[in-house]
Amino acid sequence: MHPKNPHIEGYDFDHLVSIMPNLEAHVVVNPKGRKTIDFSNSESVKCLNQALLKAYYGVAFWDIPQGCLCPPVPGRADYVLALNEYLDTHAPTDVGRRVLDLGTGANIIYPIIGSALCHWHCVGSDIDELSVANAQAILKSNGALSKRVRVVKQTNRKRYFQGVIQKDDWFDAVMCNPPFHSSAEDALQGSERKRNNLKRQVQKRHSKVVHKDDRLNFSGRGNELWCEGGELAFVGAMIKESRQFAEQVGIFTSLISQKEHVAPLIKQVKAAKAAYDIVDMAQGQKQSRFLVWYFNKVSA
Amino acid sequence: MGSTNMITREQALPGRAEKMPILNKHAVFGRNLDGPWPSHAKKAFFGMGCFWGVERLFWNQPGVYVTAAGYMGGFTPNPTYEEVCTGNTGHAEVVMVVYNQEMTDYWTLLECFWENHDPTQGMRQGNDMGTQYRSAIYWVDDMQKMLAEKSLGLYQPNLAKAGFENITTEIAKAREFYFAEDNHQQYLHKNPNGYCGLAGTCVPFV
Repeated sequence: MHPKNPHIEGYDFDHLVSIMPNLEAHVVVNPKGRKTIDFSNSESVKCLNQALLKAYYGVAFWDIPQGCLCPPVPGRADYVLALNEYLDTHAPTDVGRRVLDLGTGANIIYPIIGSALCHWHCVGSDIDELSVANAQAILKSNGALSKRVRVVKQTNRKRYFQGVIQKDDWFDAVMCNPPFHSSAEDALQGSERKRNNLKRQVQKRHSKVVHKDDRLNFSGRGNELWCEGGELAFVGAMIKESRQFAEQVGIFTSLISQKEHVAPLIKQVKAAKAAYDIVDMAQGQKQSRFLVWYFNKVSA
Repeated sequence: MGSTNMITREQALPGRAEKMPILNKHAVFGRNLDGPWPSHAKKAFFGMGCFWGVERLFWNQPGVYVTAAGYMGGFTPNPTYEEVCTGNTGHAEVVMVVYNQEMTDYWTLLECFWENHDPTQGMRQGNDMGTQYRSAIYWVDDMQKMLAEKSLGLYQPNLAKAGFENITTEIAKAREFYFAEDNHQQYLHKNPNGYCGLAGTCVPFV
């Protein structure tokens, strides 16, 4: 985890319950005697997130519709912090940064974290009507957030930046957590796998909460989880279109969840006549990384 | 989420006799939260919605000696945050502002009070709903009482001119101040990116 990650020491449930009493009903004790929640229960995860966002990110009114992707906050914070650090190294500035979050979702988690931890001004874009509506509702309820974040609907499902980056816009960075899977079936299988892994852990635990929720806590809507051609096609198309916006964006970045996708995507970056970089991140057992590409010279 | 209907003494939670144990040390200033204080120190009590932002607002004011987050104005003795959140204690989230009378004065604090929240919202403040978020001034002596009432009288027409409704601020005698849990003391100093719901009406006091 990034050294500045607010959750590097784990979740302090006593503290979180103290600031959001609703969370208490979701707290269970694991076999090691440590407090935790049932991560396979979507209501529990959402409640945990609400407590985290209020406690550490200044957002007291956050909600997402049932079935929308409920992001794990520490991992999301890692990308934000690693990206900001990369920018500090390669493009230091005294002025606040502007970041575009491509596919911000109903949860707008990156703009929330980015504005709180790094004082970014953010634009979050999404093709999904429901997500955009929910994101707007979150902004409406959180005054401080709405001063730093704007949400834009991408009306062309085949475009990434067109219609979102306006004529006089400048963004220090684009960030993206692309849809991982290449089909709905694939996404469902992925969810099942995660669910079974968690269920195995949960069965060993005493759980106060009985739930009939068949979907995994972190599962989401179609657009959030899959697209035609999956991650490879998504980021590939993003690279192609980014050329047109070379003068308006400092660096383009995207999470790459599958290591095997890195090499082919680097090829596409080179074909687009851009320079690239890979930033590695680690989250417990998980290794992840984001790809950086840019058309203008940044300092080494 | 607290109810926006004020409860009666009979309906209130019973609370407890034991005081809330707190660290008697301000996280920013290092001074005692619960006294003793130098002779220049005087207490003031303000409710302006969620107390995290309010406490930070006041500890950043020149002449403020020490601050604390807590509860006042209701019925339940030594309540917990969880109880106050239900609305069944009758308390408001209140900040105790201990100020140095040689460096600042109550009128200056009142100006800060009026300009940094919306005092017309009744039993809520911004999106925080419930009687615990009500606007309130709890005075400790006749001088504070007089100044509080006077300041309301001066501010109301300014608000009215800007299209706001009548001020709903509770102005009453200060009763026992119950300290909030340690977690809540100087919260935004310990958690700089935590929630702050503070937002004024943009109507100047003078």
